[in-house]
Amino acid sequence: MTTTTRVAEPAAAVPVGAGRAPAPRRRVSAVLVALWVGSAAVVAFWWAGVTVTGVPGATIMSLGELAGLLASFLVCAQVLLVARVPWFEASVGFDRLVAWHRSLGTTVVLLVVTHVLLMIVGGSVLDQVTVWAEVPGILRTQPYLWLAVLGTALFLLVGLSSARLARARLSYEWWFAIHLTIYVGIFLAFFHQVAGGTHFVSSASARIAWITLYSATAGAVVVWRVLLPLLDHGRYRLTVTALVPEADGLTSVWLRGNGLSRMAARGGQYFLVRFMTRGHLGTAHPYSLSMVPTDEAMRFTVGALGDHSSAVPAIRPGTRVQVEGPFGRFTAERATTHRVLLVAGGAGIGPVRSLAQDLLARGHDLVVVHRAHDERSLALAGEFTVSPSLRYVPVPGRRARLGYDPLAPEHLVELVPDIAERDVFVCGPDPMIAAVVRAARTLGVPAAAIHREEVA
Amino acid sequence: MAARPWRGTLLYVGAVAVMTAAGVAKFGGAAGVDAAAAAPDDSAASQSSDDVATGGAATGGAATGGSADGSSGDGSTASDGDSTDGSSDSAGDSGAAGSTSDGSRAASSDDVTIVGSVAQTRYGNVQVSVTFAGTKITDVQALQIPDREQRDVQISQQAIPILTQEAIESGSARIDTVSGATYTSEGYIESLQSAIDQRG
Repeated sequence: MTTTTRVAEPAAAVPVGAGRAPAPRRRVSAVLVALWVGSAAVVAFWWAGVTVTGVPGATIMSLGELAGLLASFLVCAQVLLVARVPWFEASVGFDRLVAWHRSLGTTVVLLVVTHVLLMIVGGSVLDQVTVWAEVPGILRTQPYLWLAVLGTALFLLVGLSSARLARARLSYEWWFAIHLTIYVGIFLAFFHQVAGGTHFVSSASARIAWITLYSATAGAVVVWRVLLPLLDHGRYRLTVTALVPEADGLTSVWLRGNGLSRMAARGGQYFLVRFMTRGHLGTAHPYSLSMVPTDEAMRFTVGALGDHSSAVPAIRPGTRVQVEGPFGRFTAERATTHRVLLVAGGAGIGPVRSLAQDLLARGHDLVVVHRAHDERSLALAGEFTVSPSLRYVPVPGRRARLGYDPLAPEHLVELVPDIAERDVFVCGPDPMIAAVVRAARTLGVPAAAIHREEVA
Repeated sequence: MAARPWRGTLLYVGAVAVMTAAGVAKFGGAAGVDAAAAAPDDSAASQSSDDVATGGAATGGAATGGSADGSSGDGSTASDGDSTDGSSDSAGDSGAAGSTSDGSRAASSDDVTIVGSVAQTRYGNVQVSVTFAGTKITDVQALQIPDREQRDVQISQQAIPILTQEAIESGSARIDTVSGATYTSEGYIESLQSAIDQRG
């Protein structure tokens, strides 16, 4: 199992390419549009249910209800974004879903706070009492409000624990454990919405629509985050077979399992990997495939970043592994033209290696530019068998020592003179990606032909 | 994987802008209504079953407790089963109203005032009397409004004039509920509908 496979020889039929095929268009907008349309529908629903009283307190409370409705809708959207719904994954990509989930998290927490403040202030204006007298009053009279207060506390806790400052100080396990409590928070806050919300009490159909939204969200979470992963775990029966040090700081993890081709994983994709052993159980980390999986074997090549990646070499063969995925759109289908440049930096060589395998199998002409700190860090270099369809260009050396950036436009064009006619796939640390994207754009590569994946 | 920093905050700012715009669009013209709503509030507040009893008497002695259709006066065994009187809270109020309530019908040649059933809500009872000129609704008086708490009274007082105006304008019980006073509105509509039903 420890023998490394060579990148496949090029397929016989090579569609030697004329111009670029039209880039397969991203259907990003579908999910985003759904978000916007949903939010607009919530505002319209609020609008239709409001009668103008002209009473200042009631007006403030009405706006508070709108804030609450929006928060409530967006929190469902937020959960759905990370519910591993295959359609979302395919159209948006997991990383961008997570990014949107994070952004919306800020919005939701702020809207919840706004809702609470407006309801209290509006109510106190209406009752002509102080804010402090208003709070016990509404807690006494409003249905399920105590539960909602607990739910709000959980929202704030989860929000604060996810803030940039806190995330830097909090271990992943603690953060994740805190994050899970949001399901309880959402559940607790739900009852006061349908039982106490003006808009829902007065309309049975609105109540049904809201309950359906929440049930569907819960269903998606149960199916795609709990049931299917458990089923897959039982079916694939993945175990660690070997750990192979590849180069300074990089280790390959070989897994064995059953029927892995059903995963339909492609080169360049990644999985959320959880080692079922002490110290790793609570964590699932994104690891990229460094080989297109066969029916029984898959391989990840992991860099020594963060606490857990560093501990990977200590994992014993035989350890059970649970994976979720595949994720990612850093795949061969994205190529718009026959000739392709792959740029890998550091741990980025893993996905580039598996992507190259797929691209060669599809008959593309490849140049692989491999950046590393020094010669000893050029992991997997031996797997890129040079052929008429594959040129492998190792570029070792730190910028400080070289005295220049080999990925700057004037140097990159020396390495790859025909870059403007190529698709560019770049994978590595963020600054390197930025440098390559800049250089490629400068050298005339269209934005639609540049594909990137950050490895962290 | 990195989320764009501040995008969530920007979205929130956008949401607040939308909310403000929606609020201005919805409530912007509310200043006039505000004054209009405030004026009749005092009379509505002092409105009690007594007032209406006299009002009823003026139109033909509605408050006698006797009833043309033979239902008992206090309404606890009234034929319209949705009103079960004698709720423990606001006992005095519903008792007083009970004498005029449920199915009692006042008839005169032109104006007819009919007392609607007592609608029970989470925050108290709502009951209205409706004056008809022919089949046209000319006036609606609130006999009972939710009054358990200062807050309820205020909400009701602000909502009732709006509901009354809506009822007179539409000539029916198919009127919009008032935001922030949903319970009162629903009770109002229920009682109003029962009065219209009695009128036939």
